[in-house]
Amino acid sequence: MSTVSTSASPLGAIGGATETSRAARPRSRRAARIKLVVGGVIVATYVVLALLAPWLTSHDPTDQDILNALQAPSATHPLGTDEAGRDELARLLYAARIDLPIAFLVTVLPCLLGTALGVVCGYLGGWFDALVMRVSDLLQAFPTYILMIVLVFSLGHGVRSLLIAFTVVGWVVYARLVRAEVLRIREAGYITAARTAGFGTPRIIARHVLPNTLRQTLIYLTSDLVFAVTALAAFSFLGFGIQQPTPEWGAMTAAAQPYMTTNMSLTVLPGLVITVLALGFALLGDGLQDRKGNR
Amino acid sequence: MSGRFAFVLRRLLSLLPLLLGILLLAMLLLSLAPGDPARQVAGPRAPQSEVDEVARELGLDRPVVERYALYVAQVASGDLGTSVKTGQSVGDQVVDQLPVTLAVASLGVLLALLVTVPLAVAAARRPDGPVDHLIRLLAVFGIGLPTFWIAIMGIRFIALPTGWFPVAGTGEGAGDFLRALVLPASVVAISILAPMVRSLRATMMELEEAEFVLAARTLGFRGGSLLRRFQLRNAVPPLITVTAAQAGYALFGTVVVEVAFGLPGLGQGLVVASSTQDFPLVQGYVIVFAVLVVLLYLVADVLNAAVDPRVRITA
Repeated sequence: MSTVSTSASPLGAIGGATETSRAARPRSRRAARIKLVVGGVIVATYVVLALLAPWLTSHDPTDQDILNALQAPSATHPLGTDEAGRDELARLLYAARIDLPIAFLVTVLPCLLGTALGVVCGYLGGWFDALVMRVSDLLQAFPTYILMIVLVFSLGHGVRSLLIAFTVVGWVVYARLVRAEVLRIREAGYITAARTAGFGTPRIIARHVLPNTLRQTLIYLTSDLVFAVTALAAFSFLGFGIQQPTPEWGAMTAAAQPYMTTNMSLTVLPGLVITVLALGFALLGDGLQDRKGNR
Repeated sequence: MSGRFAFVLRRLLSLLPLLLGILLLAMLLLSLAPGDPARQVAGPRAPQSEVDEVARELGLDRPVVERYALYVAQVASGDLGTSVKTGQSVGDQVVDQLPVTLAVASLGVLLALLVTVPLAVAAARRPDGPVDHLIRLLAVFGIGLPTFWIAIMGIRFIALPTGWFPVAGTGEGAGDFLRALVLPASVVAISILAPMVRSLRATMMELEEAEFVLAARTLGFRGGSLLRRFQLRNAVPPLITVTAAQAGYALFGTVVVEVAFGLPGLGQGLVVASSTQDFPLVQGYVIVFAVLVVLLYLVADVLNAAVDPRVRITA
């Protein structure tokens, strides 16, 4: 198992260490800056649009109007209406208030859990480390998504299940990442110095070990957001995630699929919105990775 | 030869505890589910005595350890259980649906490999050149494309206007079946492509600076023969590893693609089974998917050992 399972993260080689060995080049440093700026602008735009949603549209995203279903764009409905006569623009905007925070949560929760376990495993070692690593082996042997589908199935639909499913699956990569960093740092001179100075283990971990693992974790976290955004939507598309009528991009796409010949934009727009947001996170992650490679 | 055989055997044996763990996890996870499975089978209006009877039949009244042992014995004898909704054997259903899923996933991985190699080689030829930047940009873009959306766009903008491919289902006969696979497999390929290109590109660039490549160059190897005989050959093991990881991911892509294209595969079966709350069916699918991934990693390890003797010695 050893050679494959460690890289079996959802994103495969993203943020992998393989790309860091290149020497610094002025051009790629500039490219990294462009990526960071473009990615940052995209993500910031989404956040602003999500925050301002109630002021950007006067429609309620869940208000049904069956008589005006599947309308073409008009003055009252700038992007038309969906299969239940709900305003498409309002749904796209309000969906950002669902997808963005949940995507953020399903990335940060596994990161926190994984980091905590990784630090303890790496710093203390012993039976606890062995146990956690065996559990993570087992989890990685499972196909990530199937495990998540089963968890959502077992726990019932809804946000809580999604959070649990993403956390149960997602902590592994962070734990391994942080554990490896901690193992590397543990023998560093400044840790020995801190120990010699009489600092206790909790303080050494919090003040000297953790900060040094943060950068690597942050890079992976940013790439992981790409996965979170698309996976969340995919889950809702399959009917496991957020359910209609709550506005959510994946569920909107699934609901509009029967009408794709007559009302093409209802399937095109939500996917486009997801793609651009994911691209924003991907550019941020890539830019961070490039910049790190150049240090 | 015997070394190779021993390696495969050792790997196979090391899978046993993993398979036992998978069965345990599948059983424990599904026991988390709300509601009483026996009540589900007996029906909502069945009297309690009947529910108890069903529970006894399903072995639900026994302690967990005993249930686990019975379950392992049952699966080992090739019985994955019976669907509580249709009464059909889970094994039969899986056997019916497996070919579709395997065909879509393996064709997708194959397509992805066919695209990965030329793209990565082209990108690595001149690092930070225009081709490299374009390919890296495409890779970043590819990561963020939602699989279900590419599938639907494929139906809307390729299958519907041209009429070359069925919009849903697999049709009749081998020709229709193959035609029905083209778009789904392409979508799966797109969904797994980016990390493969990035990984192979990075490997090729590292190899560009390797000492043996430098030595080969000094000896007069140039262009194609240098690429084939020294660089690509050494890029194979990491490529196998990333391909295996992405092939595992392709299995989920297949779930989404099967739902979008209405293909009667394992993925669609799993989605339907979980929406109808069919416990034994979901459990069976989980095990089949997990076993597929385990086998996939085994194949990757064996392939790696076949192309790289160092793996056989150290592992």
